[in-house]
Amino acid sequence: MIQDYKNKKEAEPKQIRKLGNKSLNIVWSDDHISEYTFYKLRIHCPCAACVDELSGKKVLDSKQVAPLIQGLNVNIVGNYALSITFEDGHSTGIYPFKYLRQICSCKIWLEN
Amino acid sequence: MGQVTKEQVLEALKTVQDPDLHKDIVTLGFIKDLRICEGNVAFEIHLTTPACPVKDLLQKEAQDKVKALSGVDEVTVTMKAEVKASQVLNKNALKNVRNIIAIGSGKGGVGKSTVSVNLACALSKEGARVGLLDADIYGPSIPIMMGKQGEPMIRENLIQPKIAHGIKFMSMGFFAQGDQPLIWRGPMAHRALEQSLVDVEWGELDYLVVDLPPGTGDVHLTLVQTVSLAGAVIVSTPQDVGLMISMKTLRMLQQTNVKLLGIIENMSYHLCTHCGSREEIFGYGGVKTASKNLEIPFLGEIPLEQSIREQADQGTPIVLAKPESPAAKIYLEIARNLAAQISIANFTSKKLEVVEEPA
Repeated sequence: MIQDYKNKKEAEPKQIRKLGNKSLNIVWSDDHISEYTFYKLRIHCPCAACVDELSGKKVLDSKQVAPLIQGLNVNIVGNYALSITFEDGHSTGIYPFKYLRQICSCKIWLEN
Repeated sequence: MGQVTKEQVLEALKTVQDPDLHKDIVTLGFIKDLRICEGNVAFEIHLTTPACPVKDLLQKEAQDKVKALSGVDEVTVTMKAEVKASQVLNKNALKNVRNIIAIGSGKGGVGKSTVSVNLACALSKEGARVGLLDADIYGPSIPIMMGKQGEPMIRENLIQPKIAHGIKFMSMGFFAQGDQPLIWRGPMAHRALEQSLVDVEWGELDYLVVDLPPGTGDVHLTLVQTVSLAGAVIVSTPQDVGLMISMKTLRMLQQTNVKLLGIIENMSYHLCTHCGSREEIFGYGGVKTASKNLEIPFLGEIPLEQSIREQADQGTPIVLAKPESPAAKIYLEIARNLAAQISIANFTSKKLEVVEEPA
């Protein structure tokens, strides 16, 4: 009998809501709720222009980001991530769900 | 004797279980158009795929269960199929494509394209509407295997896919001139794949099979970022080195949340054309063991057979050219297993979307 493949270790969102242009709210499959301001998402952008690819060091200067920066557009990338277009025109970051769960301010989910 | 009622018939049908979805066929909503006229009962069973591996079994069971009711003389069961769309598919240009399936491998030369072509033909033979995308930029071979080459037409800014054996197909090879290779850096490969997915008039399809290049390169990354796959299938040969590299492709797919629909062992064994003895050239059974360890469905094993290669080279895949051959039957069985896995995945997956709300 063919079995179903189990891979539940990854963080899986149940619901993703964009609250105006201010913040993003994710309910995870374990019912944990994360809320991110677009400022937080912008300064945690993982793209190659914001984080050095080889050293992993942050290139982006958080001070250059407006504290009330707005998020214009949020799209789902394939099955595993989100892409966000910010007010400053930046849109190259791909935020895997797992990464989003990691940067949640609760800090509970730090394994992996 | 009184006439049998609809409730009695449905009650009887409730005891028929779909072995893959683990629910009875009434609860699943498979029963349509139930009509009763005196002792004659007629209804339709709508399956989730025309390539259902247990189609005949379900039909017989339903027929027998209803026939056993008192007051029933004649039972007519019509089998139909309606392929459920993968919940996660959301690109507009592909809105009528219900399921996109990627066929990948670690190593090159394990027979991905041959497997893709034959699976596409097998699904189509079972009555599904099938498309085939050759995303292998290094060795686009599907035009040869489908027996149709040359440049595709463009109408109203959309590439018109070629049609062969009832299957719509598109190849990265169409971007090259004649026998010239495609010498592309990443961004070019990215753009070309995006075009082959989104700018092609696929129309209504139940399954779009994507034949990937070997490994885990630009094409893979673009695919998992551009569309939501219904899932992926890994093709591997049984020897350790092939399997080991297949695992890398597998892990990449896992990391991007792509459902692994199953693994296929290709070139599993060879039956000697002279004496019929079985030779296990690349070893045997390695893939099955690996699938067990990883808890991924094992879809089947395909022998190393000259006629599979010959038919592919001649442009008529073995599934169509020699439908009675053992290899064609194996392909058909694998296609049914695959279709079943897709139906299971679509029943269990949830649609994910970004909901906009005022702050």
